[in-house]
Amino acid sequence: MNPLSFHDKAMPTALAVTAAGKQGKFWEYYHTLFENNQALTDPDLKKYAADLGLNVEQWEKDRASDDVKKTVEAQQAIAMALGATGTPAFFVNGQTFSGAKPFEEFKVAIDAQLAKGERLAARNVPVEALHAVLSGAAQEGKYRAYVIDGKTPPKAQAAGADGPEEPLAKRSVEIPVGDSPRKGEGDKVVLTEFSDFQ
Amino acid sequence: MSKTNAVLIALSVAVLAFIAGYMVGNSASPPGTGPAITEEQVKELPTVAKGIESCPAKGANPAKVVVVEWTDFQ
Repeated sequence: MNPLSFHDKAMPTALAVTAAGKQGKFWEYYHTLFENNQALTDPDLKKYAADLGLNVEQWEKDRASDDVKKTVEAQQAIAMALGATGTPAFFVNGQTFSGAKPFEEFKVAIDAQLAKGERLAARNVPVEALHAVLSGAAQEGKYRAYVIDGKTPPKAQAAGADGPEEPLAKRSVEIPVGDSPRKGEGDKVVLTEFSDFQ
Repeated sequence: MSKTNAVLIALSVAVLAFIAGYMVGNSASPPGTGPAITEEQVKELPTVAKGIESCPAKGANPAKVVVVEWTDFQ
């Protein structure tokens, strides 16, 4: 999980689903959240725990525990260290995909990895080592260090670690627009757009 | 053989040699190919992703392709 600071339901749900995982129902809870992503208040989270047959009292203790919080923060720290500052973020044998992508993009990447895996298997590289070998150079070695070798990354900077980061929308940002094309008069409100055609 | 013909033949050979060399140079083994690795080398390869070992996972283990996702709910 990588609960982003500017998603107000992100940390409570991350703690809730991780706590459900301690009772062996991570995926059931995860899919319940996904199917009910417009109803993620605290009473909703508790109801889902009960509906899934969790020991709700234990689940409540777990989601408020340091143990669960540290688990989420550890996952978050790896994401941050790998530059995965948005969600969802995917790594296909270490190859980065930021944001939701069409199936075809994943298929191309996965097929390419499978082909490389076949070639490595022909050189006697065992399947259980393919993840490490094929991701070895990803993220300038950071993926290998944090995901494969399990080294501890720098502490997460997002919400829940050192306090909430101010949302970008509320921060003042200097944008060097130079001689960029512009419209309109006055400068009480300046709307700057970065755009492209697909 | 005239001197001109000899020069032309020499030039042709040089050009062909250059093209052949270029083609050989660009037909290097694709990534992931090469000689088989030794048992000793195999033993040194990491077989567990320790950083995500305790994370929820689906699918075959071990797998040829591992997709790691970081996500959240808004």
